[in-house]
Amino acid sequence: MNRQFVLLALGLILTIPVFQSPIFSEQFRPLQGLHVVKSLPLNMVAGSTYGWEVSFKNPKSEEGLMNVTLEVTEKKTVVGFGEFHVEGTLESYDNPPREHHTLPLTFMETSGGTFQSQALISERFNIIKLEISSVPNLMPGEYTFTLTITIQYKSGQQTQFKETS
Amino acid sequence: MQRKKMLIVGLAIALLIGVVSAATISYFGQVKMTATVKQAVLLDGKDVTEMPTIEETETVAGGEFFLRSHWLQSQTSVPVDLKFETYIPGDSAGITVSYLKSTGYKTTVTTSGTYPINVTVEDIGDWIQWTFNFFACNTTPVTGGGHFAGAVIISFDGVKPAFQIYDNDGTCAAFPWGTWLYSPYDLTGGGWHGWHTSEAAWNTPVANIWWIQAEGARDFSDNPGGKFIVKIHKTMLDATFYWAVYANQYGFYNPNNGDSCYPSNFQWGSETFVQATILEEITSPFTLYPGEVLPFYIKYKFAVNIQPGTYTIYSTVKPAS
Repeated sequence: MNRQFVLLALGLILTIPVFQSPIFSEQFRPLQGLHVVKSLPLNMVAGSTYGWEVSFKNPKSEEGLMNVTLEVTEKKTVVGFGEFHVEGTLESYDNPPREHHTLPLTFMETSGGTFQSQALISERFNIIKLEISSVPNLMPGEYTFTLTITIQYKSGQQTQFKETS
Repeated sequence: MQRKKMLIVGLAIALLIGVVSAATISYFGQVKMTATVKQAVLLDGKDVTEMPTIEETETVAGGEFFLRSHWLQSQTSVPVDLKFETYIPGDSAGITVSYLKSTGYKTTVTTSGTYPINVTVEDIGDWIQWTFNFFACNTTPVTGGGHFAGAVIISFDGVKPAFQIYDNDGTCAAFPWGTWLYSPYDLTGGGWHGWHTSEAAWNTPVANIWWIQAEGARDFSDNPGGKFIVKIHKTMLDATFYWAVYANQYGFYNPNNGDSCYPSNFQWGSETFVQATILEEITSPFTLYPGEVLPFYIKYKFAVNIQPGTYTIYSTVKPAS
């Protein structure tokens, strides 16, 4: 009887990590609430500034460390350092909205075309607003913009969202 | 006892896996799109992938100059600082390349003479246009059977005429009256004070010349507004050149024949001219503003004593910083 109880407990404990693996998470727990509020245009002009807005829910509605990474790549050329410039803000609120917070996001270019920013979030609803500009002499081409949002909680659980435009 | 230990170890491993798993990714999603980024500034409507440089090849004997027109267009929302760069393979001595833009030249003058008229000279893009307004100063023609005659005379040094564009008023019998003709000046070839307008071989209908346009009928019955328009393509002029006009009205007034000209001391055989600066140098670096379209000209000037031959010159437009 005691042995059966132990085996049952063992089974339950093992179930948790199995279903928390990325494979099962991807299949069974899609990104709830993550969507593009304002899309980047399909046709852009070098030198101009374009807005990109993404909304998502804080899955645990508790304080977490958000990492935002924007990667810009091009099919035929290597994106150089300083060719793009990114500014951003984070707007957060709860439902019902009690207070609306706006926080500037400072993006650092860690390598050519890769920008990173960090911020603490705690509200349920969050909107990241990006202003992406490039140098006027940017090589024309087809560019891919990949936005990755990662949230790290104090408990150690991590949640990742990924948007590519 | 041994089995109990194994159970405890098993539980400990399971707990460890659980704790570690708590740090794995829980949610994942991806959406893909591609954005096409166009070049901020186009050169002659093309980006760097289509035409990286302007290539100009000329065969010269020495002393020539050539003007070539191009244009820049800003597609971006921010001002862009640009500069021109020139590359001449081999010996570049004796070759001067300059980059020019329009001065927006425009002037209206009144001719001097028996029956003055107004002539407006203006930059209309790729062309410089002369508009003769025969009734600007005399508004009451006494008869409907009158005729108009006119000429634009061009000089490149302000002293010696280069050519004239005129409405044939019987000067050259080889062409119908009223035909617009081009006739060059050549003092060494005889003629009348260097002009050969009466000789068929020295006249070319402007309809056969791409860089000249002229319109306006000779007869009042076909031209009741009394207007002549003559256009010369800028590339066949120079940044600074000289011009004069001559006009005649016949059969309108009493007395029925009246000449007029500008400048006032202009005379056939001892021509005088007015200076016109239609292009000025673009100082690099320069700023192209959002949405701006900038027509510009490249002037290739070859020294008189340059080695005769064929030269190729490359020009590029680059960001200033």
